Amino acid sequence: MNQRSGNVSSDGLVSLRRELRGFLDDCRREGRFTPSVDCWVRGWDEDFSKELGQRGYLGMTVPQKYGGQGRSHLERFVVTEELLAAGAPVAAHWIADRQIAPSLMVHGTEEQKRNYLPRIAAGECYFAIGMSEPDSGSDLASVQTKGTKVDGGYRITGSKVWTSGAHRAEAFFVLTRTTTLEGVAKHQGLSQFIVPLDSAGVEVRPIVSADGMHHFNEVFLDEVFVPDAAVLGRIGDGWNQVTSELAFERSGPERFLSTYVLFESMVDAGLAYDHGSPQLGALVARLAALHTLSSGVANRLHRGELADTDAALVKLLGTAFEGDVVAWAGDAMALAGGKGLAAPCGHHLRAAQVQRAGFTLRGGTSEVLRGVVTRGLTA
Amino acid sequence: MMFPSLSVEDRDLRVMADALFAAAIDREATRNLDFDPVLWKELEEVGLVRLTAPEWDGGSNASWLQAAVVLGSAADNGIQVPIAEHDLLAGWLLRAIGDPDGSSALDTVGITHDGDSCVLPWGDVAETAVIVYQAGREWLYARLPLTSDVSQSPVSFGGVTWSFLTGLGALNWKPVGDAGLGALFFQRGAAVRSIQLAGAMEGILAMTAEYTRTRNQFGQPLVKFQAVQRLIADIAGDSALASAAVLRLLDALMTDSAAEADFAVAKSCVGRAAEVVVRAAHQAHGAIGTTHEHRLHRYSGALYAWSQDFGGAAIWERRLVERMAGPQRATNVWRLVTGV
Repeated sequence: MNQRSGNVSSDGLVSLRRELRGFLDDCRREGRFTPSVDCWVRGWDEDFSKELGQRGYLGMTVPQKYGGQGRSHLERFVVTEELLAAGAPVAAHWIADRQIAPSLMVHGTEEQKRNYLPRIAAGECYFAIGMSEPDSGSDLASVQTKGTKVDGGYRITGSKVWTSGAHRAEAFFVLTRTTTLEGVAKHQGLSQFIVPLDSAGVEVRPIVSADGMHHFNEVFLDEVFVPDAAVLGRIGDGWNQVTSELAFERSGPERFLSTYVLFESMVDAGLAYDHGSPQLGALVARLAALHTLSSGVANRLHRGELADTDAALVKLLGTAFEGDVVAWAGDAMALAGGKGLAAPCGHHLRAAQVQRAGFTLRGGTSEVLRGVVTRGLTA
Repeated sequence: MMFPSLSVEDRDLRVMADALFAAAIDREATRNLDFDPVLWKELEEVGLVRLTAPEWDGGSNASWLQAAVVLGSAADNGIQVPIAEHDLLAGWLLRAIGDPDGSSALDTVGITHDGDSCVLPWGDVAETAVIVYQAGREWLYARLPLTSDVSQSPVSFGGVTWSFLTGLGALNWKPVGDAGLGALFFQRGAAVRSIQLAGAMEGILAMTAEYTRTRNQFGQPLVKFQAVQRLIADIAGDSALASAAVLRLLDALMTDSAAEADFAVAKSCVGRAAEVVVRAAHQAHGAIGTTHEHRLHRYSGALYAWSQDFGGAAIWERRLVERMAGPQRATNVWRLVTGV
């Protein structure tokens, strides 16, 4: 396909893709990692993250003076897509690289950038994000965790939930209410802090997933002190900070490739042909179109255009596709009389069936996204 | 369709096409679902009828992208005109074959799978039909003058008369020459229909969004209801995906690198989307959308007819699967998706 890519040459993107694909093929051949569905949540491998950092595949858009690659969002898109398609273990650095680094670049203080960005780009510094709370899921602006001004900093009290990787990460962003709701609009008076997870008063409790794996946590903050230097950007700018990067988060390849490893393993095992072919062609076609739609949004964001509605559409369509792959694979395997259940594709199927429910929830539920899309078209 | 980047010249083309088609929406002929000779003459005058024919053949030499702009504009406005059939399909094929008679004033095209019967659009207004027949490995074609004694069994669908012709065995079938030409013709047909489908979906989305924004029930606009928002999001989602698949194909066509898979991806996505879009749009419009007077059926009828023409989604999906066999099949899937 002819990439329309602003000032990044199409040839450059192709060679970047080939180079990374070659490395990942080698890794798989040598057994450096076992491909996994939903690898950006399930595949925690700090050595692999560090190797990606050394090879220059992390901090792609972070300026070189902060230890990053100083490359474009389009190059970052290509890298993300290849890593996910290979099912590579990218969970350790994922949040730091995808959300924290871009946010620090826009909102962070010089000190914060110097402290975190070089280590994020090296694949050595891992982050979590504290947004949702037990009483605030989709309605994020209703968070109740409080940040109270004290001498030299703030004291934070409250609890966060679904905090992926908090039991392994160094620090997390915490969205708090720093101005009481009386007299201000709901979206005002919110602020984010960078809180080290080993701070006094922080307690991390596991939330074990249905398959027995531990990705999520509940994090309790009891009068946790952070200095003024830990405020992300400005006090009161929290809502703007958490929503301004949403188009990037919603339109990325992780919204349609979470089950690609399952899909590929079914094709590889040959099961897809004999027993699942009517839908196989439709799924491949949809996947190709999703790739085009998602990279189209990446192009527009790269050019500085707004793409909120299309970004929401990528997530809405992509996560539905991820689930359709799971349903199709289950059918094809059943039609094959259970053949393949003991093979890698059987393993991926079971993992995907467990993870599937989360696809259409995380990062904005499909129900919320439908509202976003419709408002974008009828406002 | 949302084209990511159009030159100033192509944007002007879109503006011109939009103006012509929009002006035709409320004309008597369009309302009666008849061919609009006034529009056709206007299109001829500005060079949009022989759109892609080379200049030496009296055409405007438009690129695929420019053709998509014009066809997309017509479909977006809910207007049916036989530019695709006359110029991009029949005109192209006759020129490629080197047919001694060349184009007539208005040609249409049809495909026969059994050499005897054929579904044909525009049989009521075209002068001749170019019928293409895949007989095993060989591709044949015949020219059929559409005189009044041809039995057509016409059905009007979305503003086009689709005829079911039979008894084609007696036609003077000639080889198209190069066997690859027949396959190329079929691919072109799929591309043209995909472009039109994506354009029509854009129109149907705008129309449905507007209706649900302005129609009040239970004291508020329909779009305030989450159940209705779901319908809008369904239309927006599937039509966006269809557009992406078509843009992907156009990119390939513009660089002369379109492969079978690119056509298959497009025709599969637009075909699957058409079903979702038609259902949701009719549901959102309620009973008024089922009437002859309302414009909705111009879109929904066209969507159904076009999505089955030149291979429905299932046919192209089967072709796609056939291309994914062999020991390299797993890596081939990802190559197909990324183009690398």
